[in-house]
Amino acid sequence: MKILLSTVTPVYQGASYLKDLVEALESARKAITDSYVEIELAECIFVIDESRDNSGEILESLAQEREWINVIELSKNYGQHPATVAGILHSSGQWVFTLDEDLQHHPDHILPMLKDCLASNRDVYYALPIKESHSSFVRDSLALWFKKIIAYLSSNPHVPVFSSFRCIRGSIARAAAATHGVDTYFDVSLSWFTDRIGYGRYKLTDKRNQSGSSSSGYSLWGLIRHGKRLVLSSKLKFLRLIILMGVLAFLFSIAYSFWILSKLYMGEEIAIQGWSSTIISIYFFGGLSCLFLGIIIESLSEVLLKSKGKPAFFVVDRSSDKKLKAIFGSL
Amino acid sequence: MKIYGSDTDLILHFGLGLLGRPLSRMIIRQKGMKLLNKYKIQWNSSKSLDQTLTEAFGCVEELYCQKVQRMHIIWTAGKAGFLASSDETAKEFSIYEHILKTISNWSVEVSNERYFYLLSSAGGLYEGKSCIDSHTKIQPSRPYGELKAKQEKSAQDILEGFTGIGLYRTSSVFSLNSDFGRRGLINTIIKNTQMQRPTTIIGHPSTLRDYILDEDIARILIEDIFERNKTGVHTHLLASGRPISIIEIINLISQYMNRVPRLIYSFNKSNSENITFRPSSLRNTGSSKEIGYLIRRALMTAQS
Repeated sequence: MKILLSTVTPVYQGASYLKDLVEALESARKAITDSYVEIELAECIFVIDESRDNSGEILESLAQEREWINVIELSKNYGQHPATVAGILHSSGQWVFTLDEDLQHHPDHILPMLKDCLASNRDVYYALPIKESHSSFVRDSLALWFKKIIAYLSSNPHVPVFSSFRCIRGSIARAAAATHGVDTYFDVSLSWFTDRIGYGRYKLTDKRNQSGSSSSGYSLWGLIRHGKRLVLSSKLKFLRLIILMGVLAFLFSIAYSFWILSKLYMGEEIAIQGWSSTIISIYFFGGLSCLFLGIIIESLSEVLLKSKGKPAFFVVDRSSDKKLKAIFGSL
Repeated sequence: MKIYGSDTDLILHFGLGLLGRPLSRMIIRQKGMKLLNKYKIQWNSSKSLDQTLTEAFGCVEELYCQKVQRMHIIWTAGKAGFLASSDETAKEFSIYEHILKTISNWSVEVSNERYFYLLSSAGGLYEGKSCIDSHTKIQPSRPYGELKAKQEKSAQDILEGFTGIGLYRTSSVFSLNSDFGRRGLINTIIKNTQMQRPTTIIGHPSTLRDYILDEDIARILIEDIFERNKTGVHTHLLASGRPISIIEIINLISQYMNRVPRLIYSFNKSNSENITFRPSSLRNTGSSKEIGYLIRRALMTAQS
């Protein structure tokens, strides 16, 4: 039985690149089948996310001559992650590759990514550029530091390598997509199903830089919303800091009370009347409030994550990896 | 078995179960079509079967003094399921073959333009295959699949003189009417969740299936019977093109019912293979693609 691969490409403003992308996919399909008879790039799914140009018409005409192209149209603009999820839910390959519409993610990297993913026993494998591809240093640096902070706060070490060029085990991709909630960051969803996440660096050339137009599909507001989605999908460490602060403040108030009482017992006089009791009251009730607030927020975040699709467990079948590794030779 | 007729068309419809019912309802709605008669077939008794067929033929001959313009035989009958044994499928096939031969001989006197429509099973014929399209070779691996393959071949051999033979290979059929016979996975989970009972799933939670609504199959058949009249042997894949896993079904049901279905998994390798279809090779199956819409309708039906 053949190992089938699927690609999923959200489309927003890809009119300038789609024809080239489809031709590149066609070449990749042929190359894969020529190299390995048991592997096939069986389907390429394009998800039209209320595109701003005539991407839809271009894809429909390309799909007419190519039965392996499947075009899905969303009813309105939902965003890159929801469009990716929609495409994955229409896929049936044992491995799913998500790639952008603008040829930044060249289909020639599909097989190398799969090989590297298998060699490192991963379920999710990101392709990162050897050199960051957006022309804006500020944007790239901000994005990187934001991800590093979120990685630390959420205890999810994979956040800095999240990218839209992914190689994902099909069952995990579809499980994450199926349980994916509104406003969930898809890569965070993936990390709920597996810890076997890796990345590799490849020569990813941004064709938009070559053509002189390097604008991303994201405005500043879009990037902020993207970041908000990442934050809300992650359970953040600072929530526990609130509980810790509450406990410390409460304990401080108790300790300070005992200290004041011991001073009084020893006969010492309190310098400023009323100050100690005020401070003790503030820390006592403030600490308790923080503690209970932290517990409530912690519980709410569990409920929120559950509503976003975080599962109790997931069973995976990796038995076909042996066959693939044998096909690729010793890895 | 039901017999329908109009001035120009005569329909003999075998199999009034899961697919038969919506098809029956749609036939009656066609202009000029009337239900002429219906017969309960005793599948276990060949003598009784022959008697029923003789009565049916007599009824047609009484009503139609001269040859009717078009005659359509529809076969949506079938008792054997996916896990049927060789004995069960052999018995079903012998009844099927006998009926076809009988009808083939008799129908020559009834009409010069004869059509046959067979509801076959893509799941049985293409077991374990993904991205199935018109070029995919059939590969049955169990008695049920072999039965379907034999039925298709037998139809082409026995009904050689027929104007058109349509073979309709369907994916997993989903019906909103779950009151009889095989309920299907989705309806079973909904019912059990309502009753707070666990459901046993034979297979892997990630296994992909394709569901098509019985009404969509019926609609396509009606289109072919009353509008297309395709000649020769023509094969159709009837599926939604929207693969769905058990996990996704469970998630959707949980959302709509506000209750998490309780599941027991019985991992069975033979039932864990994906079966999916390439959308470009499929007929337009309307609402079958919207699995969320189907599940909501099933829930509304279950709750009413």
